[in-house]
Amino acid sequence: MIYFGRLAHVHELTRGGPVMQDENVKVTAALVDHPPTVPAFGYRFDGHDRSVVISGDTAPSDNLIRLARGADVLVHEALYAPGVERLVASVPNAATRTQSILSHHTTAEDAGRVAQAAGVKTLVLSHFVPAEDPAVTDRMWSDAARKHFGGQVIVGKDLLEI
Amino acid sequence: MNTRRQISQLLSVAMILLALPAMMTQAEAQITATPTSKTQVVLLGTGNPQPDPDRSGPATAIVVNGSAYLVDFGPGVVRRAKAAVIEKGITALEPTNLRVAFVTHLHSDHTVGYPDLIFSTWTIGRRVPLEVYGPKGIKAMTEHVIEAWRADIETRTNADGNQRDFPEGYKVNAHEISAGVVYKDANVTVTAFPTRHAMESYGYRFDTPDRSIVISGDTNPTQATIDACRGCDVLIHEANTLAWLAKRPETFQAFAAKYHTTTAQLAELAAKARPRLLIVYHASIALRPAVSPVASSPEELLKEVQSRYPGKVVVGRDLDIY
Repeated sequence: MIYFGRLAHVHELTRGGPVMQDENVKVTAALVDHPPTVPAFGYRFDGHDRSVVISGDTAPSDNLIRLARGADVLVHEALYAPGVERLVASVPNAATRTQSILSHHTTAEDAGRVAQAAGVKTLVLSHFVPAEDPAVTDRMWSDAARKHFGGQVIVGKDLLEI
Repeated sequence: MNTRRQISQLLSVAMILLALPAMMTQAEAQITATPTSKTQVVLLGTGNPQPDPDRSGPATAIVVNGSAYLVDFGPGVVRRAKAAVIEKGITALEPTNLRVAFVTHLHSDHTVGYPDLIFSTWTIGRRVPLEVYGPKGIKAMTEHVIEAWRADIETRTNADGNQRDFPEGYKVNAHEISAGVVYKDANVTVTAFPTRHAMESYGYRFDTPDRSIVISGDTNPTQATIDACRGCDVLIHEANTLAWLAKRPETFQAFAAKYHTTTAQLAELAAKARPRLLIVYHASIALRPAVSPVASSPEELLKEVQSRYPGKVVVGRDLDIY
């Protein structure tokens, strides 16, 4: 694929560990748990002044907890189970579908558990499911995450600077 | 005199009476000629390759009787379609309803929304394949895009996948076209005409029960575009401003001279094509100077066209409806 070389240099990852480093940042990956999509990675960015971890899509993951240990910021995906039930209510096999979604994603409450176990300072919720349900308010998202996490909780928004 | 006046009055009354049936017929005709659901042109993306947050990548929707027909799928197409649903109430543009698309040419700024159009809409519930019409190469592009997202397809259609009940929804029937009628259904007849760009390229004319709409794609001025319009209701055409071109490097000026249209050329073309409304899109403008200090303002673009063309002309903006 020589002709792609000029536009992008691609490095395919198969396992967790150091990914790249330059004068600004050190990037480390960890395998997370997003079956049936294998592999799926979370990433940690260690800069001069801060460390930031992005979960990607994952169920609660021990690898991610290890990756995020002591980080300043953890950006974690989140779903709200009652909202997911409403979302899939109209499709066939709603119960199985809900179960399937729950099995490879993380509830906001569990995201709080992950953040607490990793000992991060700030948890930012993102990649919300459901995304468009007005019945699930920002307060509900953050309250769920705070149940098991003592640090700062932020409900992520486009263009929010943290 | 009295008799003559009486005769004259009688004649006037008679003429009115004689004319009445015709007037009524005309009035009735006007009523019947106005369909309950008017064809709408919805500009989803009026931009170009510039990453302009105010102008999404090239994409236009023709909406007829609750069905949507796309021309091009630049970056942002699916999110703009959803914005048209929420902000403008165009329910036909609900992303799961996007099923038919026409491609003017295969440049990336007109087609990088392709995986978005295929996969995002499937993931949220489109159950039938897309029908996509375009120049030679659209089949290969389709196959490559589908192959590139193989992991997504496999994991969504396997026993645990969220789309296992709709395994046909990601598929695309890609049709490689040549000039002439390329599509016809109860709402619309679509005719492709050759344009002049850096590769095989087409413009499209849509004939619906109430309107005729011509869209240029990227092109140098061509007689085929003039012939396709010839008094059409709406002509949607690209243009670069003279002011902006003057600031560009010579290499780009040479490219644009062969493959794009200036405002002056567009004015000349429109005078011959005589559209009832000219919409300028894919133009070298920015709505805010912060996006691009060298790009023209919409006002500058409009002035360059209007100073040379007396017809009705507007600068297209994302989510405008005509």
